[in-house]
Amino acid sequence: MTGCAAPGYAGPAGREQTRADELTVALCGNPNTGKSTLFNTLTGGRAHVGNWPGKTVERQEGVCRLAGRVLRVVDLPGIYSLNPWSEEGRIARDYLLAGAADALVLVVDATNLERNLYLVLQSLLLFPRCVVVLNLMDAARRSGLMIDTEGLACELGAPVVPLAAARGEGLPALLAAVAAVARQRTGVEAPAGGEPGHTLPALPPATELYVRAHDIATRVVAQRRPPDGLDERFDRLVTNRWLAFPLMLAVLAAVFWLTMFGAAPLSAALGALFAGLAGWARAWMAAAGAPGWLAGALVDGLIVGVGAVVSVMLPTMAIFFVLFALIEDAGFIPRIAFVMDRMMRPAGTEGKHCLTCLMAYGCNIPGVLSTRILSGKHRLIAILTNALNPCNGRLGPMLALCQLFFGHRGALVMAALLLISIAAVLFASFVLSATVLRGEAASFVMEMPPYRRPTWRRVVTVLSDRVWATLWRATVVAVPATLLIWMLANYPAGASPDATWAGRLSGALDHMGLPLGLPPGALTAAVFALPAKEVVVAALAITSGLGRTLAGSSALDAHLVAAWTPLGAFTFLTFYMLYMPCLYTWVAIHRETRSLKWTVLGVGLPLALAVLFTAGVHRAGLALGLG
Amino acid sequence: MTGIALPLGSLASGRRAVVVQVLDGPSSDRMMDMGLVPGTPLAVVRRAPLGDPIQVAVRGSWVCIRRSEADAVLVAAAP
Repeated sequence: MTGCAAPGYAGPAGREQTRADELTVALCGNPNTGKSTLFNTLTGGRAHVGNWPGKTVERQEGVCRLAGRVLRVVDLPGIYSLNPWSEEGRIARDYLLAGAADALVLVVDATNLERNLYLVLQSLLLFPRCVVVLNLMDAARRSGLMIDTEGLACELGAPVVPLAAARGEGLPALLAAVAAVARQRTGVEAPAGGEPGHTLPALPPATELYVRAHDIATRVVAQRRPPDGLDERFDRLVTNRWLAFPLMLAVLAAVFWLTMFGAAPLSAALGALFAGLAGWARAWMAAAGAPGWLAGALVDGLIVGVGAVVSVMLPTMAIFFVLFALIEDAGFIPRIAFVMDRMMRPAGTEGKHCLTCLMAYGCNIPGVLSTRILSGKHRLIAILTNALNPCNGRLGPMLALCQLFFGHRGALVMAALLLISIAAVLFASFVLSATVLRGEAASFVMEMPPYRRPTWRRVVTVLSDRVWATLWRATVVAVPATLLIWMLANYPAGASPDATWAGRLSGALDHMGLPLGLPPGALTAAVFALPAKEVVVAALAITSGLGRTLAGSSALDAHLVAAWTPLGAFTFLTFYMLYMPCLYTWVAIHRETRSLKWTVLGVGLPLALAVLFTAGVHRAGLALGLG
Repeated sequence: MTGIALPLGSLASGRRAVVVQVLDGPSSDRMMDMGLVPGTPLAVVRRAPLGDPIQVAVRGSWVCIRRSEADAVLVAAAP
């Protein structure tokens, strides 16, 4: 869950007033043309970037400076046209017609000029002050494409600037062109880009504009040498009838395996560091004569609790997200959607649903937001089933607990758990499309981008983002949660473990967990982990009898291994993986569906499935004699 | 552009064709936005491992479409 509040997902800026010395520039273009990369380069922002169409899910704003003036940059979602078939198309069109932009930067993929020109031609008809940016010029050069930019500018009647946004090439020329075309603000002036209430002029039919796009592209693009066909050869392998599925599974398994075993030594080192810190703090506070409750809260509650979160989360988060970024940048994600679509269809959903599930493995909030690449029924299914995919906040503790209980076979157990979560997603999708969402039309049309080489810059950005997001969450979410849990476990003061608030809660909840095969204390720990799933390890330490001391992870490990059967552990892991989205995800679901009914279902459905699957696992385990 | 118009979804992989007409369907607007308009040359690059969807090369890009939806696009197959 860490990193849910990524700044890239901020909503529209609240400040709608524009000062006279400010310029508002909108970025518009087809999906996956490098708009978000350009936005980040201009503003120093951290919009989510990756090689698959449809990541910018709502417009976002940033600021940069240009010759003493403030440039407000608005990144519109990627669209193929200004026709209002899709939500993104409507957002972009409404924004442009509202007339808030002083200039429009049309970002064009230089390797795919003809298709991109369709939107450019539409935009030029609706909006007078445009600069056309030929992005991905480095990729175009590599594939032997020559583009006559002056000829293109003549054809379009708008300035054309070649650019390689990922390397920052061509930025000064772009800024100069923007300054030249932008509307000059002279005090109070009615917006000229489309007066308020201005109705949309009829756009020419697609056939007509595409004829013009083809004409222009034929005149200004020259193919210096034939394409190398490397993408095609690679795709032949990746989408091969026999190799596609084993390959996909192997890549995902490799990601999880590297996350699991790569993180272990780092986790151990961080754990030792925090244990040392706790020991030192305890000794120091005893020497200083601090009261017992203060030392307990600060050392056992805070340092040990936060240490447990950080040492589990930080290495796994960093490794997982870097690997995921590499796969995403290279362009594997849409291939997965293409290969998976047929399998998703019996469940009433489609290939792009897989993309939102993969996103959810990072964090359910961007997962829920990424469902905007889908529409209608498929979108609702993807939103409601998103939390069934374990986010990183759950994957971290799950990996750790799998290793603890199952040792070197932990990877297999983890794989089994992930299969259960996939089964839960498919089952839930099937039930939804057969009941509440029955009969709605659904479709699958997706652009497949070319493979692109991941950049080191991106890896470093992802790494630092994840480290900071994890530390931020550990402080802001885990600290209060850990302190609250510590208090529940230690008060009323002087009570026996069973008589503390946590003990009493445990006593009540254990009865409910019993039919599901959940070990004592497990359900209480799950409740404690509701604000943020990653605190579950610290919560378990308290609810499983180590209540007052929370003496560190080694004591907890020994206790859990002794007290829980492997089946009990697996049952708990199943429940914990599925049981409910975290509180932040509730908010995201509500924001995306704007409906209390769907939000309640988005929270209740995972709980119902968690109970169902946990009971099933428990029964099956008993039947197999694993109890 | 001779011959009978076939639904795009029925084209074998590797075949080239030209779009003749786009019938009304749940995805027709979207497919036309992505460049599948009458007169457009295209090629079926491949079918997915399970036979569906298909990957179509059109106007310098690749578009993946379910065969049932691609059938709204009528094409004249090139020889």
